[in-house]
Amino acid sequence: MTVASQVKQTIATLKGIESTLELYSIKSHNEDEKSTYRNSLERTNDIIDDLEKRLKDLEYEEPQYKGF
Amino acid sequence: MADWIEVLIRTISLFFIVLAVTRIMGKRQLTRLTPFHFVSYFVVGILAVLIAVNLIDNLILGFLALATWVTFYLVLDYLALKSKMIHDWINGRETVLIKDGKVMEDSLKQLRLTGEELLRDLRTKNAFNLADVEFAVMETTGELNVLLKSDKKPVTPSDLGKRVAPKSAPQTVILDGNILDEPLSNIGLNRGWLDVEIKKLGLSLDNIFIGQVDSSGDLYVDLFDDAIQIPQPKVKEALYASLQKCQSDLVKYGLETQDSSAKDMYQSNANKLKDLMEILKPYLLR
Repeated sequence: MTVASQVKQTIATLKGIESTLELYSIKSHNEDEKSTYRNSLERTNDIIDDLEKRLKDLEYEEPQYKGF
Repeated sequence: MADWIEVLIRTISLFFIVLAVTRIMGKRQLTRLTPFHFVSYFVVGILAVLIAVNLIDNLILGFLALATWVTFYLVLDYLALKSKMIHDWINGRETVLIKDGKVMEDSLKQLRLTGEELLRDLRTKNAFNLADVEFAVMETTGELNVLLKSDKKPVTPSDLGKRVAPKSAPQTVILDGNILDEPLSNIGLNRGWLDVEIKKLGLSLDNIFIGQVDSSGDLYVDLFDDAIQIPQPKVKEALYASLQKCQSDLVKYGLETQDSSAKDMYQSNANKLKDLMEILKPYLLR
């Protein structure tokens, strides 16, 4: 597996985490719990953005592995 | 009028009167009564019986005694609510029996309590060793309350420096196979959501004895048929595991890459994920 596809996999997992966190931030009825999930959600989002930027570089370097 | 009819009528009417009076007199637990309250309840009961079985012939006199006692009780109770002095006068004050780990012999004598009785009361509070007790106080109800020395107290999460997730009370939404609508709407959910959750577990409503929704909105069910094993939701544990996986992936990419700016990026994001895991741990793992 190339680095690019590995990074893609990690991004996919992180997106899964993000959506589960989002689900819990909606589902929970304790305010404290809700805000913790929401904060974590935002942080995960930042990490995904960083990785996606890196992925663009990788795809530029190895155009043959472009796309999912 | 035949005697038995009279007794019957008196008993029935007094039954309801005593019921009403005890309701008015309050919700005190029988084991937590101060002597004054205890005697008051007794007097009401005895007066009622005496009137019922005709030992007090004159109904008016009987009821007068009963009414006077109840009125005084209620008035004193009300005054005790308003004034600390009267409260102490009626109920007495609590007595400190052990202070700074030392038994106060004078207080024991004042309460006419022997050493054995003190030790017995301590044992009922799970303090078998006198050396473990920092402070003990005899409440006005005769109950002994004990504060253990701080190194003998049960450990709490704050002692261990651990963060735990705040939990609100769970709502019981299914009881005996029936959906309870009020608690369900209290947490902003409806029957449609519950139907989906039950279907997800592969169950039917009439098989569920108790269903509770916890503060993070997960449904826990107990079935009538205990032979059936149902999968308990492991979403949170799975979420934590994938967080761990991502974090280690990022560390790995950081080690593998030659590009120094990419290395920094991976490293900082790996650290961010680590912080995130620390924060979420009390919520996701329990």
